[in-house]
Amino acid sequence: MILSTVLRLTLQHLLLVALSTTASVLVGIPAGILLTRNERFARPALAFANILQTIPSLALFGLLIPLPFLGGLGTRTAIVALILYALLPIVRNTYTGIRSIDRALSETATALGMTDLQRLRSVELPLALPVIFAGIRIATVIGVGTATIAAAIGAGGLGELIFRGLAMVDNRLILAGALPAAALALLLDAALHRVESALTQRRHRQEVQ
Amino acid sequence: MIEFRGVTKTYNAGQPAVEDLDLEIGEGEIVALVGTSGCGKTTTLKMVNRMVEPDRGEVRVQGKSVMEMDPISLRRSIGYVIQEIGLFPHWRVAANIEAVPKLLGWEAGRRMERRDALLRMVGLEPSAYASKYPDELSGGQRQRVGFARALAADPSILLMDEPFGALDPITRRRLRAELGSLCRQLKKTVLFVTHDPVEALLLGDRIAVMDAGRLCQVGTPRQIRGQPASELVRELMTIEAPA
Ligand SMILES: Nc1ncnc2c1ncn2[C@@H]1O[C@H](COP(=O)(O)OP(=O)(O)OP(=O)(O)O)[C@@H](O)[C@H]1O
Ligand SMILES: [Mg+2]
Repeated sequence: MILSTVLRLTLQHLLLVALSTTASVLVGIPAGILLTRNERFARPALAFANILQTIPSLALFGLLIPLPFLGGLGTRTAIVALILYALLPIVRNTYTGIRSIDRALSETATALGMTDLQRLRSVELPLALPVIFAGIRIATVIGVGTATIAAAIGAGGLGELIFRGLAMVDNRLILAGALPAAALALLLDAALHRVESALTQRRHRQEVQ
Repeated sequence: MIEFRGVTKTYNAGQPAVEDLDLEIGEGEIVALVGTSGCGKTTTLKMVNRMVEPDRGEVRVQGKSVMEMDPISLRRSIGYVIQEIGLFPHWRVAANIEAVPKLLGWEAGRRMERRDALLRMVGLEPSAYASKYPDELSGGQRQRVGFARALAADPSILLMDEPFGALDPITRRRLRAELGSLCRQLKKTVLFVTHDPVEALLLGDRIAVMDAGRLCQVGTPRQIRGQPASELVRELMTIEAPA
């Protein structure tokens, strides 16, 4: 019984993290790119994302509940909160990853006659990829941790076991939630590392990092 | 071929980086641009391919104002070697050289042929170098590749910003002689920046000396050496005896 519960909650947990991180990537990378094109907004936008990150997660879940459309009890609110948390590392790393590319290289791309999009695709994104991926990995690992708190607003996931364990002062229940969560974080991190390696065609990848 | 007519460029409301510049570079001519650091040489170069746009005046390429041309195709038609070479580190030598032909939509066979011809031209054996990454090359070899990349789509105009900077004196001398005669042989119109009076005197048909955004003298090496217009010109063109 307990094993199937752990399995079910692990899958639920994975789903929460996967959905929210994917959404953050889809929003965060374009947002980071746009910030490199509109420097004026970069600082306030990153500051705002920073502030979001500092709100304690339990509080953020709570604050979201009364909001129309986004809020309420359950999965949707949890995913919105998780997206907000994942956004900062992804936006920031996309922005700084592109910004920290040697200016001579972006300038060369322009001088050769690349359009803005061509430069982005063939020079800036490939060179910033390790930094962007670091952001995605951080966001994912943070997401696995934060998602345990989603149980507090009824979104399920491994947090259920942890909260139940806390209430019943049952360490085995806490561990039944915490250990799979830790394993999930490590696994996702390793998987993303694999994806990154596959995307980086360059052989001396370690050299570049 | 390239004409500057009363060109002024000021970055964020400071001192003009380039002020009221008049300069003509004829077809097949090689002009060296010299002057102290920050006098506006790079800015001048960048206004030719619209990397920088003038506030006043006009830059004309082949008789046409660059402001009336599409900047993307203008840039693809002009070879550019920047101060720091700027080879893409994640691309092999082959891809670096083929960059502009690829942007122009050449098919693979034609690109490869051109790339191999260029590598040979700059003294690198294609079979040994085409598949290397820039960080596997020496500084001199990188410079050769950068030069080959600039020539890839056979532009008639070449802009070079200190193309031989950051090389040891021997490599520098050899590369200078080789690439200089190559430019002449290929009848390229060249505007290049240098800090080295020897380089300017050896390679330039004419030398343009700039100071604080203004052109102080233009002339053949003989004129510049024989009748320097000012103390600064004389000083800039003084060749230091080897220590
Ligand atoms: N993008 C820019 N924004 C603001 N100021 C700039 C910019 N580029 C150049 N400048 C300024 O314009 C002036 C001329 O710069 P430029 O790069 O043309 O000089 P240069 O002659 O090429 O110098 P160097 O020999 O050191 O390369 C300098 O005062 C420089 O600080
Ligand atoms: Mg310069």
